[in-house]
Amino acid sequence: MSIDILGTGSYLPEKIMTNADFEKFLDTSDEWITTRTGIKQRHIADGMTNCEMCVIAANRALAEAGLTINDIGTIIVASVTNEMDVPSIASQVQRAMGATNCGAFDISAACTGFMYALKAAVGFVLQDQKPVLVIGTEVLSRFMDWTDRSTCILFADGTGAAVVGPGDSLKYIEVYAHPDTGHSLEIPGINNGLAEGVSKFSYVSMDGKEIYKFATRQVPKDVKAAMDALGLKPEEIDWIIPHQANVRILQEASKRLKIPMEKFYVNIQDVGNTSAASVPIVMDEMNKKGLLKAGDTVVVLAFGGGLTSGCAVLTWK
Amino acid sequence: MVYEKICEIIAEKMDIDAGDILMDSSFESLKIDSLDMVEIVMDIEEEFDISIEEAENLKTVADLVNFIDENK
Repeated sequence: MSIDILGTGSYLPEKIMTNADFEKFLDTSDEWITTRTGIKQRHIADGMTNCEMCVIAANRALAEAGLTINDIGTIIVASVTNEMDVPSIASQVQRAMGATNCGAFDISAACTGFMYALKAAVGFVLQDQKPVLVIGTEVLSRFMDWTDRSTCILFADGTGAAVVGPGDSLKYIEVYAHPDTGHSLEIPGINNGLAEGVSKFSYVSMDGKEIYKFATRQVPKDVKAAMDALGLKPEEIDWIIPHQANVRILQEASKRLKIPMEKFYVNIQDVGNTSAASVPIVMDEMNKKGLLKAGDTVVVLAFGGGLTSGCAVLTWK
Repeated sequence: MVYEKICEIIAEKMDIDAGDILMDSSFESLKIDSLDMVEIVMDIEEEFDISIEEAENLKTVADLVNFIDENK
């Protein structure tokens, strides 16, 4: 008793920044960015809001599911870049889409956000026996320090959505929290009326080395736990839908898990790191390309700020 | 023995021949970039049960061997 994925959708904003664009104002190079991260270009919202992107992605997912927004019982949006503190992006989406019959809330779990939202969705689906709209969305470009070459080349904008309903495709889902004792990944936020020395602007700050170490160690652990729980052998895994943070992390995981890199879907070269949107964008791309066949064993994995991580296993329908 | 173990770790990580790794080989000459270095340092820390704080100061295989010999 879990969920089926009834439809997927995604949206990437039109404006593109290539590595060459960064060379114009930053001490970096296409060669450095490509070899260290795998990224060649990324999409930038350029004024478009999370809500606007969510509506497009949601409509695409609903179309595939053969449903309307009023069939949806709950809208759950995973994001850390809501333009407003209130209403939640999910509430903004409800308003924009004219949904009358549903609940709406956001989840903040950084790059693992969509997986946390998916696990939450299971609860709502089983309680209400109604489909749930699960969205991951970010406009990280609003939180970039464009003088910090260790971060502004990585993060990007985009949205991915899935409509889920009662079913049994989801065989396993675990999401974890690991204390960020080193303050390795933060967006400090702008708070009104407080202590001196607080920056007026809020930027992503990241200790790349520490996050890299965390991810390369945690991802294999999470996937092994899933394989052990289900009695799965590496060769029985057909596809891996991974959070797109850095292709080097996935290459390390591939080696440690002895799962060939060909099974890891990679689109980071085109989309960069879109945090909570990363996994659902990959899922939609693979789905629309017809890569996911009925009966395929699909592993979903994510990791990121919090620190958080997660792993799910689906038998695709 | 420390030297052999380090060669083994680097050879495995970089997919090169251990025989190509000399005492005075610089990491740069072995095409080891900063992320490879993070991985290699982590493997060495686990192997020798030590902690390497300032890995940026280690430039050659000899530097690494000396550091481990001094801190074992």
